[in-house]
Amino acid sequence: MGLATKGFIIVLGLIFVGVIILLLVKRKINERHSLFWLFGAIIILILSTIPEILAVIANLVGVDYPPALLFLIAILVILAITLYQSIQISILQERLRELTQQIAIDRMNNSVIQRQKEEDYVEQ
Amino acid sequence: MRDCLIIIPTYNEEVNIKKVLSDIRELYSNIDTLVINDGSTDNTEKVVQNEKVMLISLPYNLGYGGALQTGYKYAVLAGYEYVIQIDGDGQHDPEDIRLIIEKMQKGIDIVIGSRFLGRGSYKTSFIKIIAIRIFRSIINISTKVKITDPSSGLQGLSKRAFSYYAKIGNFPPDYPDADILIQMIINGYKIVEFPANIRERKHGTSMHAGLRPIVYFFKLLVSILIVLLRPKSVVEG
Repeated sequence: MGLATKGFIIVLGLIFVGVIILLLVKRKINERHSLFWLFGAIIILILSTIPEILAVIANLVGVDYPPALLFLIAILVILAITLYQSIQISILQERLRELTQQIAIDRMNNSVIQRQKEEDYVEQ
Repeated sequence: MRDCLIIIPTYNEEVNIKKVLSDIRELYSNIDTLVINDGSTDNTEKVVQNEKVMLISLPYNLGYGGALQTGYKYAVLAGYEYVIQIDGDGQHDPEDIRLIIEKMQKGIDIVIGSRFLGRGSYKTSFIKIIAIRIFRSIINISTKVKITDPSSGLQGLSKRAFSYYAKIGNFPPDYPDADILIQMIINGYKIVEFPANIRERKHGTSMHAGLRPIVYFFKLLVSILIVLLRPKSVVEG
């Protein structure tokens, strides 16, 4: 890997980490979710500064072209993150449904109580 | 019959709902009726507000299962013993409610009004009939129980059954079908069917239309498989 490529990837990695930290500061992402992305960014940084690691692993698992392994790892990480998000969305949908139902029921009960109060007031 | 609650999930039924409610009131003036307006975009809410029934309006469309579950939750909170659910489009005959109550009083947990057991006029497409046949056999093979119409909207539920359905995550949010019935049978709930008297839909189109049935078919297959893989849950009551 040439020096220019290395520098380019490191800059990209640093920008990525910077963006995540900025999002954390602005409270646009919570710490738990940011962990995944920070973890991913750090892996990119490590692999780009010490590309020999990639070559060793590629050799170990029998991948002839080390950068292909990098793509595979990157795709797997993204897959894991999307799956995690699908799980989160499912949980949120379930809770949103529960809340919606509770609110609708409470609203009806409240209007019944309200009407009762008005009737009592008129009687007095 | 103060311990009984009729729940009617509705979505855009401004044309049909009034007749359904008046039919029910005529026959069962002493049974509480609850309409769940599932985020209708027409005048369903206004029409129902003018009737002497309880009305829960959901702020947006939750789907058929979500609307039903709202009714079960209310029934649990208000302490009812039996819930009878009936569609808001007028295809079910309110006369059948009496039959359902009789069966539930004998200790049945889930009473289903089947569209396929005779009486009344129910016609459906060829493909739908094949799909229903497939799910019937799946129910029969996996539980040894014969159910002809797992997706019927006319059902009676015991307190034990609707209390279970009312809990978060226990009831399918879109269309409850063979999946939830298999789960209930596995968990030891008593289920019977009776021939429901089905009337022609007066207005509007059916909920299942277009390309959706295909997606629905596979979704249901998956959820049945999951139900069969899930460990048996302990049933209280």
